[in-house]
Amino acid sequence: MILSAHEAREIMDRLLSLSTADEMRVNLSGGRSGNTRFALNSISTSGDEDTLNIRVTATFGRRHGTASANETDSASLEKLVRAAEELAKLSPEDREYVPELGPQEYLDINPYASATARATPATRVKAALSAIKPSTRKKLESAGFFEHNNSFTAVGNNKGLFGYYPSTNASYSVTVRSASEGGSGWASDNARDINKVNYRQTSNRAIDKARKSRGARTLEPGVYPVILEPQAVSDLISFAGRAMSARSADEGRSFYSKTGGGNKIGEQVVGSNITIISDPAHPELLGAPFGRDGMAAKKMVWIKDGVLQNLFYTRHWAREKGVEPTGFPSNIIIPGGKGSLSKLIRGTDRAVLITRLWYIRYVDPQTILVTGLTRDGTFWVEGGRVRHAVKNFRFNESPIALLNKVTGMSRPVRVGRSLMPAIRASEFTFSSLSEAV
Amino acid sequence: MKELTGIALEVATSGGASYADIRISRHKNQSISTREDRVQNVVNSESYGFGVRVLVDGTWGFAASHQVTSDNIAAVTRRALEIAQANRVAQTRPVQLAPVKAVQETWSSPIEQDPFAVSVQDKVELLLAANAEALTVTGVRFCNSSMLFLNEYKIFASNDGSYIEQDLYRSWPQLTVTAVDRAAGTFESRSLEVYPRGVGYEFVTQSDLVGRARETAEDAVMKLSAKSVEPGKKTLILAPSHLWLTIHESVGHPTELDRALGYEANYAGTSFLTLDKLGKLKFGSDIVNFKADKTINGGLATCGYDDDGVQTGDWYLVKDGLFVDYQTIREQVLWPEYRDARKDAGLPEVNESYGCCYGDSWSSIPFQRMPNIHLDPGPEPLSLDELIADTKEGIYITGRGSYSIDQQRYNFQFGGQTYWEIKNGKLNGMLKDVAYQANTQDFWNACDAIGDESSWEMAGTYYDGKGQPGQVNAVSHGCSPARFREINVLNTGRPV
Repeated sequence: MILSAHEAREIMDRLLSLSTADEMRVNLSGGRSGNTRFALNSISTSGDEDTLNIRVTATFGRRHGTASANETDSASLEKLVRAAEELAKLSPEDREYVPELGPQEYLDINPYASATARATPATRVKAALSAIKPSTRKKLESAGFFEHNNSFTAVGNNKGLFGYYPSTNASYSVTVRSASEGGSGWASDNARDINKVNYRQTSNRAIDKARKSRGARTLEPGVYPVILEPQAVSDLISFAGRAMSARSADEGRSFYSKTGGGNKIGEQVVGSNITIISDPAHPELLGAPFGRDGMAAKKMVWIKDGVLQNLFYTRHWAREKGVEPTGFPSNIIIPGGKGSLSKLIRGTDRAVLITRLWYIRYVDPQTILVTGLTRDGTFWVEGGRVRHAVKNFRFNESPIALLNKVTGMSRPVRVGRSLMPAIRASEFTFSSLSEAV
Repeated sequence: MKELTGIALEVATSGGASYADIRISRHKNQSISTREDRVQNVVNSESYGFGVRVLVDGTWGFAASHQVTSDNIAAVTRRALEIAQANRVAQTRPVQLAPVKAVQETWSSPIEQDPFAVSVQDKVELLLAANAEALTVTGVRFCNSSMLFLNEYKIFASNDGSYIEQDLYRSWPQLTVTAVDRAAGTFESRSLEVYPRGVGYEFVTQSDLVGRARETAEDAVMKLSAKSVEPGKKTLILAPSHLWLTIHESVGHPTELDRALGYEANYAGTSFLTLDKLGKLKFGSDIVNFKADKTINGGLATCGYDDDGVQTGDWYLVKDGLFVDYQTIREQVLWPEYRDARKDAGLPEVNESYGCCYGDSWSSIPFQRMPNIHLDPGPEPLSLDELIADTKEGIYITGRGSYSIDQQRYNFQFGGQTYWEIKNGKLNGMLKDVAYQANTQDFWNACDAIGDESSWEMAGTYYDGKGQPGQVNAVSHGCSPARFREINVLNTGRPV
């Protein structure tokens, strides 16, 4: 269900008027999404969903409780408020309680495109056919997914806070396989505006990769220079990002903890050619203007020239440490270099080129050592050219180690809700071969 | 309710659907999380709505909404019909459904105590008492504990004539302890080896978080000073608290028929168990038998009927080491590739679904999801102690740790919670930095001993992920401790 700002405020006011709590916050979200899947060059499933979530947090003194539901009739709203209040009264006092925010100033971000909101099942079928038809002609098998959503997010409380924004997103991904010949290629695209999702080009990239990845040769596992395409960079770097809780670092249970106590802010943690920021207002990303508690999102620099500048501080932990809260970023940007991926490949003597990574899991959180596999397009680059496909690998590597060995980057492109470059690194540890295609 | 479900079925049938079903469901969750002496969050959530599935000229359409009214059910059903009609142009494999018996039935999880009826205060007291007990151990700095309860009440009705009402419960208490050596700049965590079950609050009581907190905490501290493993080919004895996840990844996922054909190629992946291997591939050693099951008491995937309206049951996937079957839903049973493969392998014809269809919400499209899958206990009397005594050198691994497997479910790497060195038939202290790598077929063929029924235990997860948009599936796996020879063990301790 799409609620306008006025409708969202009306439901909030109804809820807040029922409150007997000292503080009450309401989070509303909902929307309509549509999706289509295909596989074996045929549509498999497709659906449209209308959803709504109403989340109420009640606080008495330092006791708080939360309840959520999705029914909007008067009896259900009253039941919801009473449920949150009841949970709050039953909860022990929370010494880490942070008062609700008052009115906030938000960045003027509009992550909404009307074309996406108007998308229909027929739009999705066109995207599917852009892979199905050429794959069928070329005796390849395509499988993919197209999804678009039109949603809203609102927050408000009984201290005058109110925030609302509508948003849209559309994404397409496709895998094309020539399983009998050992080939598989994957590509994706996504944007706030569905008209900017270039599904034809995306399908063609996957088909091209599937054909080029046939007849993959065996390269013995070991330590190799690599080029990670932007999706693979995003897959891996997200693990370094997830570990950036300031509290975990200060408590001594994170890579970002300093031996003997404290955290590594101010220390060189990765190569001096690496900068990592987040920017909710970046025009190619258009992130959320506020977080769940209503705190305004802002541009942040996390790592500058390899030096750790900040960690994620909740409002509670920021108060404990006497610093500004940062919240959790809605996007991550690695500014990278200026050239294209092709240019990066042309300037490479030898490297394993990786399309994307799969099933990454922590092995040792102390060093952010993770394991995972390459997938859907792994190639050998030599003398500035892609020479041939190689079989997939399992890797055991740390994104921190990778970011200490970067020898080149392309300009960043949108991957999910972040901007990532392709990255070339001098060393990457492949621990075994994977026969999977 | 029958009036509401009838509207969807009538609109769908008169709109040209050869098949239609509607699920109206209410999902309740309660989550309580604590750390040390403080409650972090108490959250009750509820979600109510319906989803309608229609089949028009062999093409699916689905639409769902949270507004459960007569008019909206009719409108949403019409939307599902429009989607199916729009998609016909890209349909080259028309869906056919295997027959199912129409039933009017109810089914409920076998709970003794409704977890939602137990007071929040009682739950909070139990969690904080467990934390306090863990924190008495020197060297322990942090302790997190939580409870997560799920209730899924759903009505399924189809124009095959079925009307099924089910009430499913799941309960999961958790405890994780972290020890920190600040001077050395190291930390280790240890989670209590308790996994969710499809039962009520009685499982929380039986799990005895308070009574087991100290041992869990002592293990966390011991891990800080454990000896780093010497890598190489080793004999492993894997506890049920660990082996369940290896079963899930290396047996559960590759035997999904949709993966084997390529339906999950764009996300979860395909399967090395292609149809030409059915009835022919030596999956494991002769003592290895895997049974799929949706009926066991307390299993997370246990229910009376699946989301195709098919009554649940059990069947073998691997028998005497041979790969003999897949997991199926109604539309898969009639796939010619499956029928031909069975015929080619000399396996009897199957005309009905095994009942593996599930959508994780009223807003989710039901599709093939994993049933509970268990390793049969060994036929001869063999306890864990006897298994260790019979092993000259090796490593005994317990608990869920790091896990990763390739998209065809072949190459994998697993870690655990604790690793114990075995020397001359005895446990000889704790190890750390352990992970093992293998491929599925080599691994299960390297299994040379399985404990008897007395050591058979069930574990599982709420969060088996698959599909686009992603859905979760709760599933259990039972086994006895088992021994594997010549497995490649890595040392994962590595400076950055």
